[in-house]
Amino acid sequence: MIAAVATSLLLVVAGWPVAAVLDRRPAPLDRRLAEAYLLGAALASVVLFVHSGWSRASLLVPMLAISAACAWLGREGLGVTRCAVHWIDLATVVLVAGYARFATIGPTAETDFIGIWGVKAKEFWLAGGIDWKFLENPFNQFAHVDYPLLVPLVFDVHAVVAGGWPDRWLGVVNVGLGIATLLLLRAFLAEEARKPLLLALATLACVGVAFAPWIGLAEGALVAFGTAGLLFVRRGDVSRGALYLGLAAMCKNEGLTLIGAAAVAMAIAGNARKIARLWPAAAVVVPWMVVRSIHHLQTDLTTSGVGERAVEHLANLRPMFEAMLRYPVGRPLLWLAIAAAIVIGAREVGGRERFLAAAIALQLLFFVAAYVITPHDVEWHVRWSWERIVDQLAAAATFLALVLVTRRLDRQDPLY
Amino acid sequence: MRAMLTELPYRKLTGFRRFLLEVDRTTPRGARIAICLPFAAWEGGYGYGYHRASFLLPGKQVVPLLRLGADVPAPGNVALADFVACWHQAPRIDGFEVLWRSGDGVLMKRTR
Repeated sequence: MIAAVATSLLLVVAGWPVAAVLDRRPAPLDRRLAEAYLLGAALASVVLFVHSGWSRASLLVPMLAISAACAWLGREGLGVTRCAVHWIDLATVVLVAGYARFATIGPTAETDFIGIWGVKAKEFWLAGGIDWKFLENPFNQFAHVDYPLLVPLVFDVHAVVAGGWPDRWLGVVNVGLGIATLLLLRAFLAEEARKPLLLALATLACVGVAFAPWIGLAEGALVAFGTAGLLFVRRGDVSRGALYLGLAAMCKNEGLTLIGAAAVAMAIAGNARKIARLWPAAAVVVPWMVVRSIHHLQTDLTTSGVGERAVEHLANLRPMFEAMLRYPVGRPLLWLAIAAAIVIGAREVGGRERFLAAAIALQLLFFVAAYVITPHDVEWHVRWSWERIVDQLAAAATFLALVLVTRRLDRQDPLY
Repeated sequence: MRAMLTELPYRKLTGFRRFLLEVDRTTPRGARIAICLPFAAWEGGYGYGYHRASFLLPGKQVVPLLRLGADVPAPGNVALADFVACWHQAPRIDGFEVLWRSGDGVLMKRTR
């Protein structure tokens, strides 16, 4: 446990100056902590990605050197500003502690951790670098060898620092990502809700969507980076949001479509001229696409015959929709509440919040499009992915709903 | 709880985890190990075991004896293996001899 906690703190320490470079001015503590963890994790992953012969020194020396350089470059932004707290935040802390216990009670038992994310991390850790032979071997296709590597590499950061494969403690990654997501949501909500009570209640409402129930999978990372990306773009910090969107695409392929969704949503929101500012997303993603292409790691959805499959499935959409009804997305109360908030704030959804609402809707359409071109049996594909991928949007959708509601409540009389 | 979670991903193949941990202990790094299971359908048990075998045999290459994702036997893949790990069965395979045997299965090693 000590190694897992120390590694998480290391990521925060290393990422803090990187976040300061992006800010160039003191930021609220909650947002800075969240960004520091996310950027620290990304930095550590990049260091592992670009070299082999992993050791503590080969990870820590370049990581801390880059961090020190960023500390000098972003020295004006190293400080933080105070955040409002309320006693209700204690309830949030209790829930987070419960999740931390859940995530680390034993080795992660998720099938996709064992078959996709964990197996790659373990192979790389043993090989002391990215094991391209493992990824290229057709017998290992089951491990979705085309998936981006940020998440397995974060697991490897923990293994390298611990000096062994930390079976039980890899759930700490989920905890760190969940806390980062929650802090980011809170920081952005603080820009909307000025009353501490409202902010604390809104934060409490976000716990369920910030912490992914699938321990050891990439959903938690995709939600953290993707939500950060969307929320920074929403507030007009497009390049910074694009960096996070690029990192989301380094977690899972859905992150790629999220970049597209964000670009189209910007056009829908009347910011088409700013779309070029999304270039950092491409700068993060393109090198991986090139490397993936060099190693012939093909995505199953784009195997030959995309057009034929699309025509075939579009001619008969019934099996797909039936499967979506048969295997629902879960959390019906949450989605009903989000829908109600959208109805209440319909005018704002079509106005100030058009970007976020459009990005969420477009990403949902991309999910459906994936089922239209899938080479797998549609029912099988929907059954094993629909709930998880829709849940990737729950944090952003909950944020949208809370903004619509808290703005109204914030305008009313003080609650106390 | 920890012990339960450790076994949980392998619960449908009793003793499979214990068997493969022993296979891992008694085979060298880089070994190519064919996974022999008493299932003829990929979704009917073989894929379940094959997906998990790789995680339990890190640094080694697992070799399927069904075509990946299909219910088509691929016995020819044995030629690509140095070892055959057979869970709950002990078939005779030309060119392989039993290295050890346990209540969970048999590990065979290539002799020629």
